[in-house]
Amino acid sequence: MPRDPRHDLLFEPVTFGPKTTRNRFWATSHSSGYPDRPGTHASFRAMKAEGGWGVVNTGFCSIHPESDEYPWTSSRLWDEGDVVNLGHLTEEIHKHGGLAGVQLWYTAMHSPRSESRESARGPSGLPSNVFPERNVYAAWASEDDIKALINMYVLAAYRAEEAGFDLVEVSGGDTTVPLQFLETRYNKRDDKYGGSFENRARFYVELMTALKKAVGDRLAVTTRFEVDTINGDHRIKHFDEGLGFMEHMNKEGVVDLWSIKIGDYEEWGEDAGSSRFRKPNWAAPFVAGARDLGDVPVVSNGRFTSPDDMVAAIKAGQCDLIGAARPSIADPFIPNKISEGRTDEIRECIGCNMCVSRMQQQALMYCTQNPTTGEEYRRGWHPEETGASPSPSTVLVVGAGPAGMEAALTLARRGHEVHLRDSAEALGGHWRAVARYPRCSEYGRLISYREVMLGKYDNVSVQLGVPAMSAQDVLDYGAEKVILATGSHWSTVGLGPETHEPLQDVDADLPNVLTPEQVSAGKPIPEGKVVVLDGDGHFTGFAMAEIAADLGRETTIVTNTHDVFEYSKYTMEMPNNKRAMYEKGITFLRNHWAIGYEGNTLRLFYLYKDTAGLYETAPGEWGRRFGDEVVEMECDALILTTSRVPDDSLYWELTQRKAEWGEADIEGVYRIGDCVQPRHAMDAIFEGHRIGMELESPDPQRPLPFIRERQIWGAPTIPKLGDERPVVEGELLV
Amino acid sequence: MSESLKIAVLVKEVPDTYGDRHLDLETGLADRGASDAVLDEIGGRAVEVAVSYAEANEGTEVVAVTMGPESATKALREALAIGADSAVHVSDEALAGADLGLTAEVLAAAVERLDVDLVLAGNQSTDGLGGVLPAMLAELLGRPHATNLDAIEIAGDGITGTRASDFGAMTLSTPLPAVASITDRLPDARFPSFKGNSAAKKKPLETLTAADLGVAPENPEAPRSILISVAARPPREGGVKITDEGDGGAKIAEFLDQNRLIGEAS
Amino acid sequence: MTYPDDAVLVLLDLTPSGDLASTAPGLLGAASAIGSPVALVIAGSAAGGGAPGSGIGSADGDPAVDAVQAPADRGDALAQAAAELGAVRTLVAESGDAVGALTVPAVDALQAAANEVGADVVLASHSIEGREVAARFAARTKAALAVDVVGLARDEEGAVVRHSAFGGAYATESAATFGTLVVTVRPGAIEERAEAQPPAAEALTVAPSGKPAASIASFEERVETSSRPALREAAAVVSFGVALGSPDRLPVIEELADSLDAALGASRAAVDEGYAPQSWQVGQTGVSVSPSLYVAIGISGATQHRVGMQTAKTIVAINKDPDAPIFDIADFGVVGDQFTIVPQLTEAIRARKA
Repeated sequence: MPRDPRHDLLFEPVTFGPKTTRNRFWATSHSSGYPDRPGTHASFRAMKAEGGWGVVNTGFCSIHPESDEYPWTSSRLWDEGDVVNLGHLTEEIHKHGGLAGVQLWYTAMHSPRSESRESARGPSGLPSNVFPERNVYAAWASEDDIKALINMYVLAAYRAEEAGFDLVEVSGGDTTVPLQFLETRYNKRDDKYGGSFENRARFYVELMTALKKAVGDRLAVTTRFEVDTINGDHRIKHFDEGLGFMEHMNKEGVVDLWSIKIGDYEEWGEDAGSSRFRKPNWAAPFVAGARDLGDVPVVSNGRFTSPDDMVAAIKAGQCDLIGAARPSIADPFIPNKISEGRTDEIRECIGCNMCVSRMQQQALMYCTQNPTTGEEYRRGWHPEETGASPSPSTVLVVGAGPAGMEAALTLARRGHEVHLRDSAEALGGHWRAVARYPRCSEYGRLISYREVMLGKYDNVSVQLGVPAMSAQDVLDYGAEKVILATGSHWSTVGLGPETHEPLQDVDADLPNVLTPEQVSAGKPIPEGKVVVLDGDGHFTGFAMAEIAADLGRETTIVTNTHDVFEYSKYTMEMPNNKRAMYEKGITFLRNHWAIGYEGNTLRLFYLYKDTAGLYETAPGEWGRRFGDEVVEMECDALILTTSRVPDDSLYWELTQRKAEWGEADIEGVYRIGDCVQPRHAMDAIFEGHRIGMELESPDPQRPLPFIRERQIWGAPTIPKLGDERPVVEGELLV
Repeated sequence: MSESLKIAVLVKEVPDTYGDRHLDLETGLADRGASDAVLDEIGGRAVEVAVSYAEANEGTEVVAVTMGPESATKALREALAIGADSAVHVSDEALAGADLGLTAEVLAAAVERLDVDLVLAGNQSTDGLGGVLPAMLAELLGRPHATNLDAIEIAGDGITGTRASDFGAMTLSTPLPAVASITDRLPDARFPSFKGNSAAKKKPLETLTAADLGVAPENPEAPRSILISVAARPPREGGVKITDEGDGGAKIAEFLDQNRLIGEAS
Repeated sequence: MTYPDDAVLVLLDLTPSGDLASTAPGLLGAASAIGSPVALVIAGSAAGGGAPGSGIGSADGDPAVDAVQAPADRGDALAQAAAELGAVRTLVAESGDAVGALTVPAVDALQAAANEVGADVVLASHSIEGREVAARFAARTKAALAVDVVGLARDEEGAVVRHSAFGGAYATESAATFGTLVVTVRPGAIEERAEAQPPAAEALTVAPSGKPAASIASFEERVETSSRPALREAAAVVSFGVALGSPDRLPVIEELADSLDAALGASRAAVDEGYAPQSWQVGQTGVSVSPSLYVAIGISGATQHRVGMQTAKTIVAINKDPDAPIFDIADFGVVGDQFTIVPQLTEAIRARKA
């Protein structure tokens, strides 16, 4: 299909410094958790180039061991070994016609340096506000130290050039050292690098100038700048020093391109704004005017998924290029799909921030919408091509929730004959109700993508509104392979992670006990005090509390965990969750769990009700005394998000009747998703994809081995003991 | 007690309604790319009615009948997968572009040959929007028709039903043999299982030409309705665009009135 | 009795109370464009008029209706009405004994009329009853049949009719190879109106064919509910976007929809925002509609919405943004604030309807 002419402008080339990119699609630097695995990292980034992104950036890349955020994994440009690993990455990107960019990152106080154990240098000797629990400081940098810092960037730029990068991007966001010099919150100096705006800007200007001199005629020298740090009264304000700094820098002529963002390191949740709080292009008011400051191209982000929104932003003069991190993860092929007029096939980012949450757990990044994220190299998967099955079968998929839909779609793409059945009238399983939680409507895009795609394959029959299947129905169906994706439900008796026991006198049949399914179905929430008992720690308990509060109920959350909705600290939603609860008058009680509920009394216990045994200990004695104190809380309605229970009865029935499978021509019965074990949709969709890709394997219920990248004993190391340390101390190198 | 009957169900192959539907600008015929052709949804409902009756009345035979190009066997196999016992496919190049009269003649001959008690069909097909074939068949077969039924009850000796008429609902009854058509108030056809699909492949499907039915498509004595021109509507272009100067609403109303898009006062 | 050489025989539908149905002006108008309309009305038994083909009066033998008029008066009244709408002559048939039989008696009457008049074109409405009378008549007399026609004309060789296929995407024309052309006309499609004629009623004798027909046991007139039409099938759709701003503002849109007897639709963003239920969503992952009129209010016209409504016959767009893509496909577009334009539009429509 031809491209919509309205979208032509997205495919115009843009020149910045010595480089020209083929279109206006800029895959913004974002972390991945992959840098220690060079194959995984390279294939992941290169997929974006293959999908049409004109420029593909790495995530944050440390320029020196003094900037080490281990166990969060950054890329590194410390030595020759890094050049080799990143060289593979640039090669892969270049194969697909993209330009490769690397983000040069030095963060002074804001890295624990757990691997390198070095001291970092910053504008002032202060403790980190980002890692307060880790007791991290930076040392006050002398002018010689400042020269050393600049030399670190220059040496890193040379290594970047050696590794094949086309551009370097100085990190001036995430409160890295250039920002720390600029911001009065960090810069308490009274020399020429502190005090006035010009003084505070000096380091950043000198740094960019040095880079320009060192590599600027071969590589583009760009920067990622937080034009408004959003944090506190002393923040950098976009209308003041934010745009003021960009103007100042443009005059110096040492910047080839700006990639702008909002929010400093603590407010990263505002840059990676989740869809529960931020609509696409929410940063527009902050970045307005940036593009008018000069001829230097500007990249702006905003969870853009719609080509019409992208065109509008460019036409409105907001930016020259469309930056995208999360949308490029969810769909590396957005540019090609727009180019080929296949915009209906764009797999839109749902803004769930599960990707971010993986990074925050120092784990490997995955994506709810795109199960091939991170699997490009280690499993050989591709987001758009599944290959064809060497032996297609007839497959019955029971349940059209996230796992079932993904399995059916993957199987259809591989050429199997698929029947996808669900007793509901629409696709999506329980996720349909999730998408109707307050402000969770973008979550529904995981359903709409699969709905559109399933409609494109003749070899998949989507059968909705059919009676729920019994084991006999499955045996009579005539499918060679059966995949059960029957999901899970919220415990109706308050079974939770703290005690692994149901609560006394609690049952969702009672009018004053409710589960999320019941709330979604319209069961009335009784008046008075509502307690949400949450053992889940993610968004569902929050949604229930919000629904109750919006109805005017006095709402309290009780949770066993140390903080309320703890998973949200990984999705960067914790601050906004708490702000929202504060605004809506929702209170919370942590480190408590429930025993039972009767009348309007909820009986709880404090997790730390035992004594500490501080003073009674004598040799041979154990001081702690077990307590049995009960805390009573008034409660007129109890909403349970304690844990989920698999809906697996069909599976067990069928396995008990395994002897009859042969006669029924059934080669195998498998199960995926929540009905195996409840999990996030991200993992359910992954499993659906996996079984679709591996249905022909000897036991498709179990994953095939993947490439595991790690050091094998005996391989050479860089550096070795006795090697010389690259010299950054002394005079400026350029 | 089983009141077994022999029922012919008329089905069609039609373009997928929500896909791209095209007319060939040369021939004026629906561009029925095989991969996009599906069993007519209303025909499927008619098959479901017949099959449900057959399940409750042992000995009942359901035959799916269609007149269409070679690719229409796919629609017949779908009907067989839903539960029809056999199928008859009238396929003849000379019948391409057949008008309603010729189509009725052919289908009547096919049905006559089968000697059925009841002919069932959907009330209108999604591409031709004719809705008149069942009545025409009834005339040619010399039988009563009970068409456009929102509800139907079949018994061994006759059928009763509720007809959705222009101004209200009529209850009808007729003895057999008869011709009936149903509306989309009747349930969707069941989804065939894989077992149903593979059984369908083995059920008997007979292919006939016009000659086999004693029909001469080129008969010069028979008046026909023929297509004399086909034109695609030009792709939409923007029309009038004005800026509101306090009269925008009134201007739209004027436009609507000119184009007879304002109904009568109710 | 001779009839004009260019006579066009027109079967007129009657309402349950025995008056000409609202399709009559269009049918007679179409006929007048290609010849001299000769109307046929099939009045019921002594009990009064009824739906054609039924040959019955009110289902429950309502004495009020039964007592209305004697057959001759009834025929005269209908001929008067038909003449006002352009009929040069009106044949009034009694369906006689065949009370409560579906369609066949009307076919017999139409056949009798056709034999009398000798017209080369026979018109009926594409109503449920009208089209089956026409179809059985065509099958019985082996005449060429064209259904659901939206326009009629005449060329040197005879009558030519126009169809609209696939939701208006294609226009086709057809004609009979020879002989009489039997035509059913899509209700509401014909704009032409004929000039009034002096009334001329004539009784038509109908010989029953004796062919078997279904029996009509009862008839229940449909009470028009004031509920909105279903989105998918609606002839008119009024659709709004997220610029609505708040669910409290929905009444403004609803009033417009009511004035146009339109269904309500919404963009995906409006549904996401909770202003509309999922069932109102028009677009790729919602409903696809092809109405005669689509009014897009504050909808930008992004691709995923467009694919769900771009085959609408007439599109009207109201949007604050002059560059909104919706204007590329709108037949009539107004750039401005929906909250001032829409109430004015509703007002103006109501005034014109009155």
